[in-house]
Amino acid sequence: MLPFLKKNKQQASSQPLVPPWHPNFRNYDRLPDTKVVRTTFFINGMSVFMAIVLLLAFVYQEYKLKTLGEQVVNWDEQIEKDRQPSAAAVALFKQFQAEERIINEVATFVDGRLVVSDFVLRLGEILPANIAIRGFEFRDTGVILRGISRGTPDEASGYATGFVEQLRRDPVFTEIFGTDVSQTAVNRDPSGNLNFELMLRFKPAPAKK
Amino acid sequence: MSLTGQDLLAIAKKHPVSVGCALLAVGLAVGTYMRHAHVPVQEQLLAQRATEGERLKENLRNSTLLKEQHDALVAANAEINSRAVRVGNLATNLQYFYKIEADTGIRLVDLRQLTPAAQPGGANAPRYLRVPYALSVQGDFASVLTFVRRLENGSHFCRINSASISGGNDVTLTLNLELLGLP
Repeated sequence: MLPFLKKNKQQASSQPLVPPWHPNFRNYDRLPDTKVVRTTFFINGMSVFMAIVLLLAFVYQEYKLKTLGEQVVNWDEQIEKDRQPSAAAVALFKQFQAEERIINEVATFVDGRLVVSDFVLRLGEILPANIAIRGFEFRDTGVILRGISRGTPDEASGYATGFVEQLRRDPVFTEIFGTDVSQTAVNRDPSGNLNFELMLRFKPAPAKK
Repeated sequence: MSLTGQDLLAIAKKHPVSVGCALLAVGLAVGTYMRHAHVPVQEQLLAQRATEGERLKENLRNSTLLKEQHDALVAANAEINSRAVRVGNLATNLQYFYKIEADTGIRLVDLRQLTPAAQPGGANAPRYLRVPYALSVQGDFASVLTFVRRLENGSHFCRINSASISGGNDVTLTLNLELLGLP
């Protein structure tokens, strides 16, 4: 039995031997753009956009330059206006500094660490009953104080030690000497009194900032 | 294949907007590029001017009371000047101590004006000299203390460099001091 799909000979001979064709005379350059949105629109849009962006950049830069120029001009005017008074002020300040230097020179001169009379008066105020001052020496490094302590040997020694502690605690003297008060010599004289020598050292000067 | 002038013209006629915008964009780009270098220069110039202007303004602001302060210093210095001893006026200088001696009732045992130390020269040379004195006084404690206070608070500026006191009822005070002086 023959297959169903087989063509019979009559049908095959009735079909043409060459496939049908026709010439294509279409000129695509001249044909209209039939796309929904034409390409020209995108090209134009992009060109306009680029031009606008560059225009804005240029205008912004020019505006910035103009603003800077105006500010420079304003400052120039201000500088020209202030130059003369400023120069006069600077000249006056130099004179001021010269005068100030002289004042500082005098201030340094009178700014001694110790006012001798105040020291003696304060010493008189706090001096205990059994202590007498025989003399003092005021030096660059401090004050050497010589005194005598009356009483029996143990009492006199106690008075002298108590006096040293008193000097170390005294608010006026601690301002000048701190607590650096030391006994540098102690000896008994023929009459039985205790001679002592104290060294009160000046506090180191504060470091200048 | 190369584009001729006619081709370009044809393209320009066909796409006038695109070509016009492209030309404009190129012109603007070139202009922006050419002017771009001016911005940092102007900014630097502005910063310089602003710094200079602020400096001048600051000078003026700080000098608001400068005249008054300067006048006050000049007046103070004139006062100090009048209170300084003159090194060469030996008799006048010693008279200062003798007058205090007479006022306080103490006795000047020794009084000497010493030679002032050499001062450094130059622009920052000190204006004043430190005129040294060595003196010894005797008297009762209260009078000697009054003498010291008169020296410390007297008409001449005084700086006591060393002092030693000794004695009983009548004390002896030895002082090394300096008076502020002018050559």
